[in-house]
Amino acid sequence: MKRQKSFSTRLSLNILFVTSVLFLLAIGVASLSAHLLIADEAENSAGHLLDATITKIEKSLMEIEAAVQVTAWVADEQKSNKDYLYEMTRAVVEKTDKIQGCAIAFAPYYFEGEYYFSPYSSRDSQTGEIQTIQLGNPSYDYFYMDWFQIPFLSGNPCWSEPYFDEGGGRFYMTTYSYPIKDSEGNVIAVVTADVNIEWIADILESVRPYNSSHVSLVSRSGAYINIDSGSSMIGETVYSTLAYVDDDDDDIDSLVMSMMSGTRGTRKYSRGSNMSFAVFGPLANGWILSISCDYREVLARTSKMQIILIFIALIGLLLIFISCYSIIKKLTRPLVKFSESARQIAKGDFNTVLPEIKSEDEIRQLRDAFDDMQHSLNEYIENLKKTMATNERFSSELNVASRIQMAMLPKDFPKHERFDLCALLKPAKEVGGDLYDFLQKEDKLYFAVGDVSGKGVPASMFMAITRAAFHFLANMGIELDELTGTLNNAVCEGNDTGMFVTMFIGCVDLKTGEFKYCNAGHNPVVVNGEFLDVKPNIALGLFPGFKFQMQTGRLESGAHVILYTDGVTEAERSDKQQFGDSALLDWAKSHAGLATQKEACCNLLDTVHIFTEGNEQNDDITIMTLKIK
Amino acid sequence: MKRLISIFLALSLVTSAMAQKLTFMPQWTPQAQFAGFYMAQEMGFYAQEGLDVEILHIKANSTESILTQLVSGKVQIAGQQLLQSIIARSDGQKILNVMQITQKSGLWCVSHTPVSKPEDLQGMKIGKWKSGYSEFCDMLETYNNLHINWVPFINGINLYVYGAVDATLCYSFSEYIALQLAIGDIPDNQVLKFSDFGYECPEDGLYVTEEYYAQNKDAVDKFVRASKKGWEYARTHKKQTLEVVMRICSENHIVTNRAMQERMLDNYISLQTNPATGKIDFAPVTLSVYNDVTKALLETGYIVNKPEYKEVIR
Repeated sequence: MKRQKSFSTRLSLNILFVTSVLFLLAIGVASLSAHLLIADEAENSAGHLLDATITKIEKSLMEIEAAVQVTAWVADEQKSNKDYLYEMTRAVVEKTDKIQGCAIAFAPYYFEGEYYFSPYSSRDSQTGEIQTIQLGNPSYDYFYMDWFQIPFLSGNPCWSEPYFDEGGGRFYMTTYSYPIKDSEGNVIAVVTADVNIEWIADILESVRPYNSSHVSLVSRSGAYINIDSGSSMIGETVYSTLAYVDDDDDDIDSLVMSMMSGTRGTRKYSRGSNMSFAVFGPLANGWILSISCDYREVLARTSKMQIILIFIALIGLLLIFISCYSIIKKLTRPLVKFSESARQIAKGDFNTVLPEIKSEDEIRQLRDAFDDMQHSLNEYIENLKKTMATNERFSSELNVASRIQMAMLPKDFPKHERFDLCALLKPAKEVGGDLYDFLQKEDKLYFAVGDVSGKGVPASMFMAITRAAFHFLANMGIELDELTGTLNNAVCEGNDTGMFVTMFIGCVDLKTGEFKYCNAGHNPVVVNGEFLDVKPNIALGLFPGFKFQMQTGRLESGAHVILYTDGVTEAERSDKQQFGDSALLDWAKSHAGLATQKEACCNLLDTVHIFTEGNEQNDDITIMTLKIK
Repeated sequence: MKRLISIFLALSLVTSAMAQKLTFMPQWTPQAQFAGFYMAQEMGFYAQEGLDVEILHIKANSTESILTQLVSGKVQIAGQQLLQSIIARSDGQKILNVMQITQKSGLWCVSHTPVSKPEDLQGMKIGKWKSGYSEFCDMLETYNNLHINWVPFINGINLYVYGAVDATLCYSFSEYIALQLAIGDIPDNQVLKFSDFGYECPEDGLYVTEEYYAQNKDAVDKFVRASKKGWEYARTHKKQTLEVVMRICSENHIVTNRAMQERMLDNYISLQTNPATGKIDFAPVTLSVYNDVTKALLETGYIVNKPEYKEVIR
């Protein structure tokens, strides 16, 4: 059988469950908020970093641009002094660390008879030695090089695409070109500065916000600038790398298009299952810087925080469970004692000691209620005891009264040669209201059966008076109508309660067989299986002085007389069907030949009982049978 | 057994010693435009024909043209364009077309502004290759009554990207792809395809001098046969071909990328399809096309004497 968990355990578990759900919700909301906040913060930070880096690179580029512009101004002034121009290019490289090479390239035939004229100085990347040469020659036709041609055609300075310059610096470079114009605005020469890209790569490497972040600087043609000379990315462009990505990766396509449009922006994108974001923006020279960050790394801190939160929550939940369990256990401990007290009270120990409650709460109220109940029960039981004692005494007295009443009725039935008589009374309550009596005076046999209205002690007392009066009057040997009238007057006297008694009084002359009888409102008697024709008169006790009419008849030898009260004919079964007159007559006809009247009385009583099928008797049953021999 | 091995080695040495050496110079620096020749070399198709071929690329900044190098005998076989070759022949350079590689023109013009017809190029500053195509540019101006400021460039697309020119000539298999990989997709309405306006001059072919051909016809035929086999191999083994192209580019310090070369290979192969047959058969330039081209050259004054078809095309 499954063991039922205790109330404190169940309540604690319920609280634990609800608290866990709330904790989970709180952690979920907190994590989501933290994720959004940190992601937003990371995007902002990356944006600030992007702006700062752009500013930093632009500042460095501006130093180079400034150096080149100054060189251009001086070169314009000193263009007739070719040797000075050579010296200038050398000085620029010497004085400016970031500039690896410097050229002052003149347009074709600017100097008469000289198709090429381009003093150029460069620093050897290995030895650091500076070499100065004339750059232009038939195998290095610089007029068609981007660094010359673009500013020459456009008249504007520009930063070239990254390149390997085989004729000059021999390393991966980018070149800043600044055009010198004549008074008419025609470009006569272009001053350049070759810049080793690696210092830019160093700057970009130092600003990577996360280990997995990518910081890329790309040229106008989408070429990567921050790569070293051995990189596999040389020659690749943003769009060529895009070609290696899945065709259906719209996120990346969209990112690259936004980035290359030259606007400042932030975009989220996915690579496989990884979400990332990129911030990007243009430099003044048209290059585009981008910083991309993987959200997994960005949010790694929140993941750690989540683990800590969950750990704290688990400890919190454990503490809550322990606290709840102990508090509830402590609070419900009196209930256990109360249940023990209730068991003791149920066993009848109303004075069992209740647990002491010091707190002023519901448990205290329960204790007080228990206490009140205990007192009330004690009081009730005390009253009950008293009532029971009274009832017991009353019942005892009733029994005595019943015994007295029954003792008043004759128990010994005379054995006579002329008749056999027997009677019985089965009261419905302890003290009944029925009566019977008989008296043999000389050759006359008086007999009577009566029924007092009501039940209990008053009825029994009325019956006792009536029976005693009958016995007395019968003994006087007076006529039956006189006897009945006198008896009526006697019971009427002092009958303030209005009780009455129906009665059949008969007298048979044992010698002659003359039968005189007077009926006072009682049931007609059965003689030889038929109802005797009787005048009803009235019941005794109702009207003093009433003249009762006596009737006469004969009881021949063998006559069988049955007297009874309505307890016989009105005996009911549970279905309210009564024994009735016909059943009585049937019985009388079929049982007239029984050997003794005692046997006849008992048989009739049994017949009635069989008829009622054990239904409770609700009226006294009195039977008297007389057999004339 | 030892004797057999000795004989085999001796035969090999003799065969090697007998292999005819020749140098082939494609039109430009290493790229997928020449993938078929690389694969013929890589897969030993030239060697199988008994040729010892050296593929020599021209330098981007070379002052000596391919034609000069061919005529001077520095190289024996060269990649050339039909227009330039006819002009050279007319000028007395006795060169012959021994294999026509492309069958259609891939010459386009990409503009910063929408263009739908040649007239839209009026007054523009347009980039063109420093070497070659001057005759085409003149034809374009002459036949459409245009005045264009042509800006020669050696390499690449940067003049266009940096806005130094209004438009630029480009090959569909080369500069156009480079532009796409630099600035992204280019709207169709900014691209003028000259073939849509009657310019249908097939470009790349293999050329030898008449003298060399007379003396080494067998070797030239073998070279052509092996080259065709190389192109067929490149078409059917693109992945391997790309590996080879990328390796050769790297060996020659050519800054490029795989996407560029892959697209170039695809596009260049598509230009090899003969419009008449729908097949890649490297058919010689037809007389009709030849006559059209020479007529245009005569009208623009690039040639005064029309070389006979048979003199140029073999």
